[in-house]
Amino acid sequence: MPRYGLARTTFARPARLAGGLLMVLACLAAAGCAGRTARMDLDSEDDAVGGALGSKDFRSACFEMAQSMVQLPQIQRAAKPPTIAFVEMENRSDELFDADSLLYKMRTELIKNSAGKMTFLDRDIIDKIRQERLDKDRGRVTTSSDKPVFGADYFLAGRVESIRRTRGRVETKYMRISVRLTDAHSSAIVWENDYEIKKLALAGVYDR
Amino acid sequence: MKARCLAAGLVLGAAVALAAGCVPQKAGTAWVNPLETMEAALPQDPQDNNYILRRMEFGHLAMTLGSNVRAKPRLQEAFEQLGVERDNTAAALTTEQLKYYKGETYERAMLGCYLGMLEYEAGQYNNARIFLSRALSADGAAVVNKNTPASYGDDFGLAYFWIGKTFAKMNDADQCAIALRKAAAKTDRKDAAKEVQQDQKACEELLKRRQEGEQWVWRTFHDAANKNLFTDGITNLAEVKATCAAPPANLPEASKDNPIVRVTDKPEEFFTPAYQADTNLTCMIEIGRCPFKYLTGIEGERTEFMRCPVRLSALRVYVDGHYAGTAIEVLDLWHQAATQDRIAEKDAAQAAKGIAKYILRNMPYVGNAAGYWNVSGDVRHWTSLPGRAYLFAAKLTPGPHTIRLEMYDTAGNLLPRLTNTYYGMPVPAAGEACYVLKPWVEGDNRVPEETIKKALTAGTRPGYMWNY
Repeated sequence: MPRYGLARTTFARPARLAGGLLMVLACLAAAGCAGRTARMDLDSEDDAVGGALGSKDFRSACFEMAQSMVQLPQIQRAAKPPTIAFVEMENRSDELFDADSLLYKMRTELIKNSAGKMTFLDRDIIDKIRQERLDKDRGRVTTSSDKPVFGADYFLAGRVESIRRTRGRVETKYMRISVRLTDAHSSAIVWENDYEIKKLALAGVYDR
Repeated sequence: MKARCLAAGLVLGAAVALAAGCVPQKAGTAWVNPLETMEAALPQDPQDNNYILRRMEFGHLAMTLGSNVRAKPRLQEAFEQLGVERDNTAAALTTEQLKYYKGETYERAMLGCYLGMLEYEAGQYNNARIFLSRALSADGAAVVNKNTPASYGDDFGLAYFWIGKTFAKMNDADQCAIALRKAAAKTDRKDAAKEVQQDQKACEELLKRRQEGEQWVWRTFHDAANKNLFTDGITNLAEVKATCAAPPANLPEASKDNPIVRVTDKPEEFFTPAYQADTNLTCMIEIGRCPFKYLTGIEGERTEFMRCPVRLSALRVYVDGHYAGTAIEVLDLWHQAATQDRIAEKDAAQAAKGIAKYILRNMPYVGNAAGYWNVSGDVRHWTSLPGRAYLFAAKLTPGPHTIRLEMYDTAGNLLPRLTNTYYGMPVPAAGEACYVLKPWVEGDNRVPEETIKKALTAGTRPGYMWNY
């Protein structure tokens, strides 16, 4: 009789079955522990994850504002491209997000669509620019031109506001994004536009 | 054969190791900081039904222990998940405890308040405004029925107080004044007077039993003949009697110089922009326990709230032994729970399940199986929340101060074992200091006074001053 003859005939099949089950369980456990990331369409709705401002409205707002601003007579008929600097985007809504990102997205859309009719000033790195100019003046680094630092003809600023009303399971969220262009010499507002969103949310029966 | 056994053993070992890797590891520094252990045990998957609840509890505990750096990110994580839609089908068909817990309206409002306070203390006033606005919106969801007074959804005094202070920092005087006025407003509730009468009666009875208990403690632990139990330096609390009807006086150990520059306990003065702008110390004092939930109905399908009595009528504050007035009540969570409308659709669904289970249990053949159908309500709640919140704000001379809180029950008698003293509380020369104080029972019955004096002389400060 083989040494493990009894084991082979009586226990071998259940043992293989148990081993197979364990492997399957281990794979399932590994699969269950893994996260998942998938690409989404940039304009898909974010309503399921809450908030009044999703990526779709963010992109639409910036695109529409940029389209509106590019048509300004002060921009179209200017003898040379006017220079524009950011001031700030004030968040007066009850949503927590970086409001300045709206201005940055607008700038990208304007630069892409204005065909060089506007010049944006990068005041974010103005300190680095001044230091670089100083180094060039002192001969510490090479220089290939002697251009002045541009002053701003216009300032771009904006505001985000919201109204939220709640009663029981029903909640309405209204948000208004407004952007204005102000003459840096006279302080006159030469352009302003706004984008409005209103959403209705119904909480689930078991949400409370 | 041997090769096969070896291969099977390796596969099994790999499977066990893989499964073990999915289990959260225990923190190895529990003896250093218990908050680390608690934080490590928080559910990591945002889809976990207790994700928000555990973070609420952890965040509040961390704040109470002074660890704002740990509290803020966890509370923020909880906040971010509040607006995410979740599927609660399982809860609709079986026990409500399977639902994704998002909190009652007052719990969500408290979450917004705590985040707002943290941002306010950090000087991030716009963020504070956002969180406090959301707290007020959460309170708005308490009103569902047309007949319910709208004021019940607009009476979260604590959020109004902090948003008022925030508007003041943002130089919005009008909004500040409106918010502080709303913080001072009280809404009536028909059972409130009856509850006060019940509390007064209970306090009178408890006083007798308390006095008997204190006499027993004194006899047992101050008997010089019993060397095993004799404890030197204890106070006979049966002889410590005071009522809030008696005029307040400074404590015997009051400092020579009065540190109080300006203080008031009149709400009409307290809740004004001018007074709040003048203060340099604000204390939010959390007392008691929040309402808890219990199951009722034929199959335990209905959840009800029960009041955890906070038998407090006055909270006297002393600064360096000098009487500084009474703290002002700004929030009563039992009032919030009692004035919160029920969700009729949920009650109907739960009732339907309860009735169905009752009928099925009494039917032949399916009766046994129906007994296993769990249709119970959900008793989960944010357990660490206080029953009431009080405010004390004053202008003090800069420097460290001792703040003592004395509590009087609804019948007006002193509760000596609830006296809590906070030593070395710093008040800055410029700006303001904000503290959350959570008095404990036996709060002063911990470390002998001499030891505290030595520690203060050596330069130590209360634990909740550290950012850890």
